[in-house]
Amino acid sequence: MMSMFTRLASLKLTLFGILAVIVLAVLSNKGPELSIGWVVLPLAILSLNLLAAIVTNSTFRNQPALLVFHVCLLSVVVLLGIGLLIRFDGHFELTEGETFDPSVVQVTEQGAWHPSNLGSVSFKQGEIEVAYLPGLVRRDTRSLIAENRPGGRIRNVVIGDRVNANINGYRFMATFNKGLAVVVVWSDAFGNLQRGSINFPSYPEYEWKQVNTWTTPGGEEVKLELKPAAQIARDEAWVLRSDSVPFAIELKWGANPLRVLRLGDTIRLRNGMLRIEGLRLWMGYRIDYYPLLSWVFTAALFALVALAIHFQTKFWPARRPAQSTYTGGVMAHDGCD
Amino acid sequence: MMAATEKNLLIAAVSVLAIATITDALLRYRQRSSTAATSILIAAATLMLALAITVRWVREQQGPFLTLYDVLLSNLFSLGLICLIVYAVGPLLRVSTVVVLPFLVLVGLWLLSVPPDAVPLPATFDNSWLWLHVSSGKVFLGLCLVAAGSSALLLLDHFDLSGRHLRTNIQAGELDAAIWPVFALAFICHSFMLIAGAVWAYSAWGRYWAWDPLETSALVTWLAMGLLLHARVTYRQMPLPISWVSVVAIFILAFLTFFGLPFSSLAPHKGLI
Repeated sequence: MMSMFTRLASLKLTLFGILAVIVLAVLSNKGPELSIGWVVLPLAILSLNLLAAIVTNSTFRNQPALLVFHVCLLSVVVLLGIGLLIRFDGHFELTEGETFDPSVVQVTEQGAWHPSNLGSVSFKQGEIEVAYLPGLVRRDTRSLIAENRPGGRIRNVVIGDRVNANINGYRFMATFNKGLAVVVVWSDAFGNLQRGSINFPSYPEYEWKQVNTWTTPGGEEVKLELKPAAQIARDEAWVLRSDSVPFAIELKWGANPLRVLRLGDTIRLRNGMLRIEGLRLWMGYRIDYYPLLSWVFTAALFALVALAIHFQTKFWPARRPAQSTYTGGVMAHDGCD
Repeated sequence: MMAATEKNLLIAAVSVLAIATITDALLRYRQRSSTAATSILIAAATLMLALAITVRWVREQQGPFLTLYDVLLSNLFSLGLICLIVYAVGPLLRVSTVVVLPFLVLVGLWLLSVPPDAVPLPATFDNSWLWLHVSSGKVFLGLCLVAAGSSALLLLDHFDLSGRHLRTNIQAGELDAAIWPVFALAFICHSFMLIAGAVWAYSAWGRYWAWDPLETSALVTWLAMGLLLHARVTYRQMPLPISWVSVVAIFILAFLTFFGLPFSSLAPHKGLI
């Protein structure tokens, strides 16, 4: 058993493992043929190799700083591995005045062991503001959300470029992706009302194509084009707010002539009436769940401090100047194999 | 007006570096001490570069982080400063100026040929981790340059290519012993650069690691440094020229990571640092 550990602890295996990680990382970057996931294999071998070395190699016991560095390094790899298994990454758009609905979240990545707690997250989107410098250079984003907390309490959070909302372990980040949404009220033949919003493409990035199609509850497909009343003054500082964009909506459906609708206008469509109730902003959010990152960070910092102490004792010993046993071709150091 | 001042300061700094290169080489050729003259000239060039950065900073209202011009300017300053510090505290490594100074002049000439355009720093990128990430990266590159310059000289000396006048400046055993502490310190700085970069990227664009070409190249550099440190410790019969070639190769990889990949890939890191 011990001899197996000793063989597994070989530093030659360490060098081979590191080389394998390098080769796989480079090859996977060259093209999509090789998945970066393969890097897990040499990392697992390196972890076992390091674990065996810590158990069997007396060098680690004789050099505590070196031991702490390698234990922390192993912890970083293990914590990152567990983190990948429980991670969650997704994105969604939310319009001012609407409540977060976990079912609209588009999942980008989800670990096999992710504890799905997203259903317990509840908040309402408040006012959104995005400041621009002259030249349409984006500066600060402010997105107010009201989180519903246990006991009926409300917590207001302003999400910005440097501030995220952490709710039940999930991190909500505002992205550069945001735009305008028209709020409409649909009234069916029985007078039942339905309120909703139709999001247009990212604004002002796609100012020139603010178009979307929508199928009404009456089953008719309509094409809506948002027409801001004035173009953005690109040479001035500016704040994007929903009330800062006077607008009209051009509506096309079937073979009917184009209709221009403004705030409060109503139009009869198949099986109901559509009313334009207002213009709002929507914000694109990213959600992620990486609860172990603070531990990874702590382990990495400990590793770094331990490595610094190890190098300090090795290269700058307290009373002995740095020495080299240079022999014109070979240099001897303390071994650990 | 401020742009012209910045340009003039840069031309002056690169000229002073060129003078330092020639002065250092001539004094070494004549077997005379170059310490005072070289250190004063490097200090003068570094001061001019600091002034150029200040002028640019005041004009653009942001630090030099984004464009190739920004990266070259800030690195020329940090490389000069680190070489100056190493020059002051490590007498054995002073001979590395024979390689380091011409390299700095080449970087300076490259800088003068690049358009000094500025790109606004996105609000999400602007936090203290960016500073820590970039600063540790610059210290790493500076230390790696000194180690690589010294290794290159040892290689020249080993293959009898250094010439009689330079050979007397190189004390091979001591210089080799002096390289490894610097290389180890560079490894620590590189490690911190990766940690700070991950924290910064997590807050700036939501991913602590994305395997983009720049991140991969930085990791490969770190692994190669770890590999070399292990190999140097383990294989006691490892030929020294191979370890010196490895140090030079690692510096070349780091140089390409800093000045090549961010401006040639379409990954999110493009032009950020």
